Amino acid sequence: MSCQTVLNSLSEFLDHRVAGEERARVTVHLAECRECAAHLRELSELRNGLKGLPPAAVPARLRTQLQVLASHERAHWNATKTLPLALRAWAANMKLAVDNLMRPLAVPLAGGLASALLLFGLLVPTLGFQPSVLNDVPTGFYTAATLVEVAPTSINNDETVVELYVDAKGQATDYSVQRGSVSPAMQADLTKMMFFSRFTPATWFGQPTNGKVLVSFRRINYVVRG
Amino acid sequence: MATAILDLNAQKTAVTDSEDLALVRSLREGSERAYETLLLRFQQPVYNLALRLLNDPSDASDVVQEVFLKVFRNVGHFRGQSSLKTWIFRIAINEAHNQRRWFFRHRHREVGIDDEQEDARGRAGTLADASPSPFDYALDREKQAMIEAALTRINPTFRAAVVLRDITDLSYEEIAEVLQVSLGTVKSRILRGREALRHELEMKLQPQPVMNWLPKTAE
Repeated sequence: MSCQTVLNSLSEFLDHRVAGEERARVTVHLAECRECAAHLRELSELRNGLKGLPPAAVPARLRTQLQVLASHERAHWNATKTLPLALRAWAANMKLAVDNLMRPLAVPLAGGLASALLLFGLLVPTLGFQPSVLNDVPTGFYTAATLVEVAPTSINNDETVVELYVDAKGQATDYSVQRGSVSPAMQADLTKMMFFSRFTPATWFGQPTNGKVLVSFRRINYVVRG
Repeated sequence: MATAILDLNAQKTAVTDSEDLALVRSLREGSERAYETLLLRFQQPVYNLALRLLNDPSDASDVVQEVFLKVFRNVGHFRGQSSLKTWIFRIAINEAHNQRRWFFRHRHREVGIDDEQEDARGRAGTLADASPSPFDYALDREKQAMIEAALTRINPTFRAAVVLRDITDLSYEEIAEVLQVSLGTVKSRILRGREALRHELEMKLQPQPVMNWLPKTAE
């Protein structure tokens, strides 16, 4: 038996896992070979040293933690052994979770609501709307030119619609016939009417600007559209 | 002789298995005494195993808690195919492996502030020793410290096999169950682990080179 074979089996030999003829052969070799015997002695001492290591004491804190863990797990296990118990435990856990969620929110929520109501109550008297000024000139958009006063005219067609061009000073400067016809005699009359009529100029963001006014003549009666 | 030992072991194993099954049954029934019994039986060996594998009391405590948490939560799935001891040790080995992996990934060294944990590593933290004299005590302690230090330096795979065999005192078959490897692998790991330890201790015991102070004479 070679030394290498014996060395490979020494560990098992030490643990009494080599039996029968093989054990006898190893024993004979060990009796003859001083090096292998020394190797076995070293391994044996090492094993005794390992076995002789004092067992580490479990720290007191760990013991307590383990007891708490066991108690908790046992309670959990007992609470979930059957379906009704499991459902009850689940409901209790959900209630606890909701309570834990809501409890930190309850005070801020109530405080916020109360503050909002108080502030609203204090501010309500100052929130009254002021009556708007009726004659206030609207700004911020376009206002069309309007006819304030029309001069007497003798236009007596069935229906004539004229568009008058009013400048920023409120003077009609030109016209165009939109419907009906205007005879040369009526043109002079229309020009006079334009000259003597009064207009309010159109405005754009409060500034007077050019605009148009539609004037409809219907026999004697006239209708102004602006 | 060997046959007689094996028979005795078989009888002992049968008794332990029946005790284990009774304990597991009581645990499933939620018996308080069963939980206490389980802790009393296994907290010490599991802590010892975790400490020898990790060499850090704080990590060992974490591992022990994880182990018992898993045991309590999975005891309903324990079918008795292996003994309760090997089942718990298997969980402990896996947790220690995870812890070591986590350690190397996240944390290289943290300074502990837990004095009590530090004490547990000292002599006060070990169980009573029957050393006859202070000299023997000191000698033993030195030898133990050397072995403990050597243990931390060998490959963790071999260390686990050696610790399970020589410190936790499991049989080869039980170690194979715990590590979930073949019997041949267990033999190989124990052999290589012991050889590595022997080598480490041999290196430690070799005399250190001495400085030579050569006197110089004035020329």
